[in-house]
Amino acid sequence: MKGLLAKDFRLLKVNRDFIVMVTIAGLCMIIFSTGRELYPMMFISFIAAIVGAGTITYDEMDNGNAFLFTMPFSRKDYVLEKYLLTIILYALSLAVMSICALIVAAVKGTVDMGDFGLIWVISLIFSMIFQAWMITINLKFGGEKGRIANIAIFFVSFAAAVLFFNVFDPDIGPVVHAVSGLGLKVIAAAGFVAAALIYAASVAVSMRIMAKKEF
Amino acid sequence: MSECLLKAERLKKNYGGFTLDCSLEVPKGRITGIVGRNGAGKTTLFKAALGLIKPDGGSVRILGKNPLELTAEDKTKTGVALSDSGFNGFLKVRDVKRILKSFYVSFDEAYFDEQVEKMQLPVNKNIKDFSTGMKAKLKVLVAVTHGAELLIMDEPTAGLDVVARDELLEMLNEYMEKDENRAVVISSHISGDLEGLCDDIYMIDEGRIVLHEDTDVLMDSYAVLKVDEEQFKGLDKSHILRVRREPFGYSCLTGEKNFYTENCPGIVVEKGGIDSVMTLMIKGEEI
Repeated sequence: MKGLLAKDFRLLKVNRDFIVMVTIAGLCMIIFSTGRELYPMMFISFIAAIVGAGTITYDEMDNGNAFLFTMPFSRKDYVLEKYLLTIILYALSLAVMSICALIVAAVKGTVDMGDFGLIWVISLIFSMIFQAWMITINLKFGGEKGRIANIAIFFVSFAAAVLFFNVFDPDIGPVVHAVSGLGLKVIAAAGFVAAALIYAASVAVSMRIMAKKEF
Repeated sequence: MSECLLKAERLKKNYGGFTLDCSLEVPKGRITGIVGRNGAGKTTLFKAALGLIKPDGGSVRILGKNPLELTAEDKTKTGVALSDSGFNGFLKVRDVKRILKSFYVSFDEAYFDEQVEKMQLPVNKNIKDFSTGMKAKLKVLVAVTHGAELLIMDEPTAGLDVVARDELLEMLNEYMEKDENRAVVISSHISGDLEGLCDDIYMIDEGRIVLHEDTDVLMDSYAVLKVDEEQFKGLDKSHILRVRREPFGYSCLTGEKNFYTENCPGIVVEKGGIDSVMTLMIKGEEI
């Protein structure tokens, strides 16, 4: 696991320009927006997942996986390392963005600490779901095909949702009303539990995908 | 025979029109060569031995275990260089060193540095920008720097000039000299590399082992008899392994050179090298 992390952090240097650009964009959003200083904390959850799962593409480049998997780690280790790497990237970027947002917000006096906690939880929920999705899709289809798979799955899901609402015309008003009546804390807790379940399922599916792979 | 570090028995793998079906043993203390044409099955055999692909039949054991059950600890006992795969090209030698240090407790950093300098490998250049020779040298170096018990080398000398090939083969010899319990299995389609290095040689063609022999025996006892039609008719064929029609008559492969030099003084007996033995084993016909 230590060797895999060492490899991935060195490969991440290839993405240095992208990471710097995204960080600058995030900082600009924090500095120049009014009342939306915390929003970058949301978008970094996506960026961390994209960068972390992107290392899977580097591993398979030029048939690199064949050699890589002769090194001292198991396929299970490989999967767990990808999740761990993405968590580390998310935690690091969240920490940087949070500190910057707090400093800017303190100077401007525009941010409520209650919002701060809420944004953290929402960011975490989105991050877990997005990490789960990206890692599993990249492991299953690889980097290039993974992009196509993502687009295809998005359009199929969208089309299925449109079709469902057109055909069954369900009345979702009561559901929305009931959910909003639960309160923010309950909704956030439920969201976190759902994200945790999706995350666990993603790890299990990724393990199965890797166990079957041939290089 | 001494303990085997790698053993395949009727190992099978099917890929569309290609079927690997072979048996092989790599005992401790020996350098075993596998020679065959491109696409003969050498890489498939190695990949099955390393657990990178799942066999469709038969068995393969590496360090006494099923490759699919090797632990991380077990894998530290193997050193691998694959012809079509290696470290990501965006990494540099200094990155590779850090990575190896993280993976292997027994990584010999001093030896790695020494060899990098000796081979004149650029430390701060992306591997993707290396020459073919530099890439090949790095692959072998990576495999030998953590004191592995078994080296698996798939075409490590492919595309190299004579000097670079000699340097690599010397490195493998040095590796073996350090510990008599080690073993190397090396594939190549360049027979000259294997003749001077290997203790025994397997010849593989279309997924099957067509010959396994000690290198000394192969070099000393195998020969090609060049005979015309008349000589062929009168030839004692009890020790002839393969025959091939030629414009002048026949080329006959034998594993009993002395029998023919002593009993058939009129015929041309050419010393058998790996190339000629291989050619006749593949293209010749059994009698």
